[in-house]
Amino acid sequence: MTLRSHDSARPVPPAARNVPALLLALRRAGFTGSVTVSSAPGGTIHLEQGLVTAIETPGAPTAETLLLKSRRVGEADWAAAETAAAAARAGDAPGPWGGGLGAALVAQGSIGATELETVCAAAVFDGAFALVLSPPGSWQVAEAAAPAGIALRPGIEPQRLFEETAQRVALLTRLWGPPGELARTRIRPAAQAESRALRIPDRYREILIAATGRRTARDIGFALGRGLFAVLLDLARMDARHLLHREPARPATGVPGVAPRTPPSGPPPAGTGPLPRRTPGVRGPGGQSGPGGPARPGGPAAVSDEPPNGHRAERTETTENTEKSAP
Amino acid sequence: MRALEASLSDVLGSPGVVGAALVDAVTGLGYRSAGEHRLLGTGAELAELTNLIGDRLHEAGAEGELESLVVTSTRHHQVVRVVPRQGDPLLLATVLDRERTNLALALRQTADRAGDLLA
Amino acid sequence: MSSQTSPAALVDELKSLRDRVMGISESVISTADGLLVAADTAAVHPESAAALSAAMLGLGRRTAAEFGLGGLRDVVTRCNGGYVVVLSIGEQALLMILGDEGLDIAGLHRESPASVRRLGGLLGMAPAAL
Repeated sequence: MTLRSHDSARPVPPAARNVPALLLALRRAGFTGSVTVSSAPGGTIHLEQGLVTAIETPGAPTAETLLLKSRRVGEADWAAAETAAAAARAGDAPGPWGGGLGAALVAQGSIGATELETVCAAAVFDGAFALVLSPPGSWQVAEAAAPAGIALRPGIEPQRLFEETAQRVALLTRLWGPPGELARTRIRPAAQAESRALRIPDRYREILIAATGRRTARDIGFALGRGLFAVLLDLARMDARHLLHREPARPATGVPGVAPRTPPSGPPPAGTGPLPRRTPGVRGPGGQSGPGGPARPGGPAAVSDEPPNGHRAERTETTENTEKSAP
Repeated sequence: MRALEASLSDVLGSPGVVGAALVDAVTGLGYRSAGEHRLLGTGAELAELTNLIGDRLHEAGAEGELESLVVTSTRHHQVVRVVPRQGDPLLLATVLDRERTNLALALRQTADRAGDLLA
Repeated sequence: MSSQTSPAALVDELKSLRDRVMGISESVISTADGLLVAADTAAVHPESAAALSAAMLGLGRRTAAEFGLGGLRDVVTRCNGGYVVVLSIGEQALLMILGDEGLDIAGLHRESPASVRRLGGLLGMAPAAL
C-alpha cells in the first residue's frame, strides 16, 4: 500500500516523532520497504507489510554473520546457496525467504528450516536492541527497497520488538549496568580466569579466549558469531563470577597528547622530518626487505603496546588496581 | 515463522503434552509457544533458571553440560530440554499431564522432538 | 627523533578512531612508500601491513589517474571476513584500517577526515596539504 499526501502524487512517509512511532505507523499502513537510520552507528530496518524482516547495523551481527562465524554454515555452502538463489530469482516469484537464499540453504541441506527461522528471528531482535543503544538520529524511508540478504517471513511485529527490547535493556541494567556503556567496554579475562582448572561452561570459555582486551562485547559477538545481547548477558553472568576485567574507558578525545612544537631555528636540514625515509642502495645486516634499502627513520616507528593474541598469557599485569567486578 | 509453528505443533501432538515453548537458552527470547505454556513462565525465566543451575553444577564439579530440568507438581511435569546446536543452544520446554504420561517416556519423547527440531 | 612528533600521540589518535567507529579492529600509518610509522595492532604484522597499504593506495592512484577520475579518496577492499580501507594522509603518508564484517563505513567516512587532519598535523604536514 502506498502512502500518499492529498496534493501530490509522490508517496510521503508518515510524520513521526521517532523511529518507534514511525514503525508503528508503517505497520498500520502495511508498508514494504526500508527505514535507514543515521546514527553512531545507524542501521537499516527492512519491512514487509510493516513487519520487520531483517535489520542491518554495525552494532550487531546479521543472521549471515551469526551462521558463518559460528561455523554453523560453511563459506562454500553459503556461496553455493547464493548462486542457487540468484538463479532462482531469475525465474519464479520470491518464496518464503528473502531473495530465496534461506530456501536455498534449506534445500541444499545446510540447515533446517526451523533452526534457520530461530537464527533469523534472533538477529532481528538483536539488531533492534543494538539500535536502541545508539543516539537518536534522522531517518529515511524507501519504498520497495531491495530485500535484505536473508530475511524472516513473515516478519516480527514492531510492537513485540519494542517490548522485548525494553525488557532487555531493563534486565541488563539491573544485572550489570547501562547497556550502551557495556556494549562499548573492552573486556579481557581477570587474572583468576586464566586457570585451566576453572570449571565453567564451554560458552564462557570461548568468550574468555575471544576477550583480547581490545574487543568490546559487540566485537566478541562478531568474532564468535553470537548476538550482541547474548554476549552481554553471558558477560554479566561471568562478571558475577569475577571472571572478567573491564578496561577503563579511554579519556575523552579531541586533545592530541603532543607537546607544543618549537619552531626550528633555521630551514630544516634535508632528509630529516617526522616520517621515516628510505636510503637508496644501502642494505643493512638484517637484510631488510623492500626496494631502496633499509629505512633511515626520522623517529622510531610507534606501535601500540598491546601484545598479539597469542602472547596474552605471557603478559604481566600492568594495571595498578584490579577493577572490582561491581555491577 | 512457518516451520517453527509446524515443529511446535508436532511437539504438542505428543501424548500427554499440553503446552510447549521453544526459547533461546542464552537470551530467553521466546521463539514460539503453543497450548498451555503459561505454566512454564516466561522465556527469560526459563533461560535464567537453566543458566543458574548449569553454572552451579559446573562450580560443584559436574562434568559436561546441563541436559534437562524437570519440575513436578500435583498435576504436571514441566520438562525443559537443552537443545545443543552449533551456536547458542535452544530450550524446548513442555508441560505434561501426569495422568496421561509417565516421566521416563516423556523424557524420551522430548529428546526425540528436540532432535527433530534441528533436522 | 624529531621533537615535533610524539609516536604515542599518533597511536593515541589511532585508538581514538577505533573508539569512535564501530568495527575497526586494527590500524596502521605508513609512508607513501610503505615504511611503518605507527600502528595500533594486535594480530597483524605492522611492517607487512604498511608495505601492503602503500601498494594498494599507489595502485588506486594510478588507476584513478588512468581513468581521469581526479584525486583518490580511499581504497575499500571488502572480504567475507571484513574490510581493509586505505586513506591518504597528504601526499606522503597513509592510513590503513582493518575492520570486521560490521565495520561502520558511514561512521568511518564521518570520523576519518578529522583523524586524517590531526594525524597530518602530528606528522608535520600543512593543513592545506591534507
